[in-house]
Amino acid sequence: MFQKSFFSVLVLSFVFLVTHSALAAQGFNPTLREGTFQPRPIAISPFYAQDQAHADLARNIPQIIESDLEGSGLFRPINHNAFVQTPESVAREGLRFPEWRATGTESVVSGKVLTDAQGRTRVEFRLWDVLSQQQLIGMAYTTTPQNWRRIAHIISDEIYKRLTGEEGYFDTRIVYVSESGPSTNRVKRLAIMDQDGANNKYLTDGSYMVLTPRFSPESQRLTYMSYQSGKPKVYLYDINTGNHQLLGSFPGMTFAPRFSPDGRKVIMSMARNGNTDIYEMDLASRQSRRITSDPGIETAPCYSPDGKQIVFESDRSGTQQLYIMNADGSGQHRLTFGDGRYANPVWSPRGDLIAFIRMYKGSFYLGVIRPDGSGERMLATAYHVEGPSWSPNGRVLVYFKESRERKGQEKQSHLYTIDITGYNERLLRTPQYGSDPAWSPLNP
Amino acid sequence: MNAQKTHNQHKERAYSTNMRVPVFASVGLHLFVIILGTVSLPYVLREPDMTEMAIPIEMVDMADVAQTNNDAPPKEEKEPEKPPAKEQPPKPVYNHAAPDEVAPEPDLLTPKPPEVEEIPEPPKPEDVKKEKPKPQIVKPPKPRNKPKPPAPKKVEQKPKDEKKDEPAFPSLLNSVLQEDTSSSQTPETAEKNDSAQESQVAKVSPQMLSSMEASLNSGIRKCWNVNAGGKYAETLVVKLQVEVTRQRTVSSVRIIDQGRYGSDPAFQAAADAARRALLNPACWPLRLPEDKYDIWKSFTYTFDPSSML
Repeated sequence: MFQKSFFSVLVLSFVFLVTHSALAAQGFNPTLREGTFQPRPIAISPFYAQDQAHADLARNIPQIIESDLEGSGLFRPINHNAFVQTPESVAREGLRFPEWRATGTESVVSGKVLTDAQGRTRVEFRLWDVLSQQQLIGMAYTTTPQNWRRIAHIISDEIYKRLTGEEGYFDTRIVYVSESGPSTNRVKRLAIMDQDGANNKYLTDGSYMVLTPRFSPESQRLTYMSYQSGKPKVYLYDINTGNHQLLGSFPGMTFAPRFSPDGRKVIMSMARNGNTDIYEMDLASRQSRRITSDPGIETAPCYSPDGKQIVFESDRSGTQQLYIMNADGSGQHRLTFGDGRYANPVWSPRGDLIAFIRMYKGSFYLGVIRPDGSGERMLATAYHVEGPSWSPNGRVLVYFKESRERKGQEKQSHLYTIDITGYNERLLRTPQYGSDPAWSPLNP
Repeated sequence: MNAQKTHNQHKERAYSTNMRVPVFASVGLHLFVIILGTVSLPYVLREPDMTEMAIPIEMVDMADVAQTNNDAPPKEEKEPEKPPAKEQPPKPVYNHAAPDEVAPEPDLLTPKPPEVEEIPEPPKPEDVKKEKPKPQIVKPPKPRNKPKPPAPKKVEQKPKDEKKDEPAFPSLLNSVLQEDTSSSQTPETAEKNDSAQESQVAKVSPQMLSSMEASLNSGIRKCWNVNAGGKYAETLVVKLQVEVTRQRTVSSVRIIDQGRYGSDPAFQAAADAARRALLNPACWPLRLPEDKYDIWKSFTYTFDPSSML
């Protein structure tokens, strides 16, 4: 007994000594595994206007940048009262880092608006890291003054990219269905606007109902469904030319087709001989190919960003669930197993998540899940949530919420955005009610 | 005769007594129906008040927002009123059939002109003079406000001891930050430090090392802002070589994996965030035991977000 315990103590001592001497030999090399998640403080100074003609731009561009960055939820613009330099002072003597550091900001954006030799407007900006006292980016853009809003979004994208390491999404647009009138006779028009709600324009006149527009990830084209004479027809719309082109009339279709990642094909579901399956259509040849042949209802297909896989919904298991298959229809397997029903899956452009709508116990949820079936979480909920669409960088989702119809009050539907962390849900203002949003790729 | 008369009177009385209740009931019922009809019929017959239903749309509010947002291109504001395709029936009834080929809409809908010319702009002329090489991505930061920088390269070997004596916080910070990049050349210096440190470290128990680590981390963690939700953010482990003054402020931070820093924007952002955590005066002085300076004056600090995300 004594021998046994003595032996144990000996072994433990040996292990202790070996471990400790190994640690000691490594020296002091600490590892930090815990941090914070907070919007990053940033100072966006008004720009310096070289002449009075550019005074408005010098004031308005930084305002848009500030609004973009703050809207992302990742940045916290500091109060202008705390600014320690005027735009003139920054332009003349550069940034006084120690003073800016005292304001608590980590970064400063400064800029100039001037007229170049050809008489065009030139907008310069610089992003400074206050703590390391260095310039992180410096860019200049030459354009017409009318283009100032886009310049502001492009600058926001540059700042976002440099500070987060990911592409921005501010120089983009959102197409959606604008709704007006009573619920019994709702007028639905196709509309498009900048991602921040500015520059709203209507693409159809409301004389016929439109539904579910989908942006091509590679071009300025979109598909949408139009119910004319009670039959669903799918149109291709080219924003650059303004040309609407009939893609076809598809029986039993409930969503407009989605584009393949290269924009050359579309994928959709159609009912033929009483069975709804998934089909792929080549846009050049207009030849379609059937991908699924299960007796269940397969619908709402969406490609993965590499085009190799497709996520879709099916009721083959008895309830509506999400499935993944290879692009040729092989390797079909179930993705979701939760209670309730899952619908409308959309693969993130960065490939790491799939957004979906879940209906459970009378409520709708917007959720995300990894393509391997792990990490399912709900981001938002409401009486009715629908139509998720990803920002081109896969960081933000836009969708719409619809309120319950109450006596004397029509249904209200509004667009919202939310960060994939589940924070920063924001109302996206539209002139009228909005539904079925689709986020464009970055503007060309 | 009298008997007949009496019988009739009796009958009448009985009749009138029996009928009184139904008559009253009938009159009451009629009155009720008339009143009900008078009160409610106008509401039944009236058409639904669409204006009332339209109120919640809040057109004014939304339109205002749209207008303020649309203040950029004046042309586009006209757009919404434009009837799109001539072939479409003019009435706003959505069941009307439209021709299969809809005419192109006016090109007012084209997106903003992509005339934007992007010109990477290096720092201002003064900075350019100071900085000879202008690597596009990793630039040595030259603080603009630093009129008296020490000699560029010699300082690298001497300064460590000299810097330690600088007491004033702002000037200390400035000199410290300035040295940040100049010390990024420290491969040999770091090795020397390592060997010197090793002999000291050998005297320190592992418990002491781990408690120093915990103490240091407890101070720095609130300055380390992690990019939650970033793509593969959990894999972005950053190692930094840190030089610390006796006052427990950071004199230099060097990102060790410079290759990845220059080529991977996500890593670059993660490394910058880690560096900012160390350079943030809000987290100074570092929580390290003053009497163990030889042990912590130079060390490699790893920022690993994998367990957080």
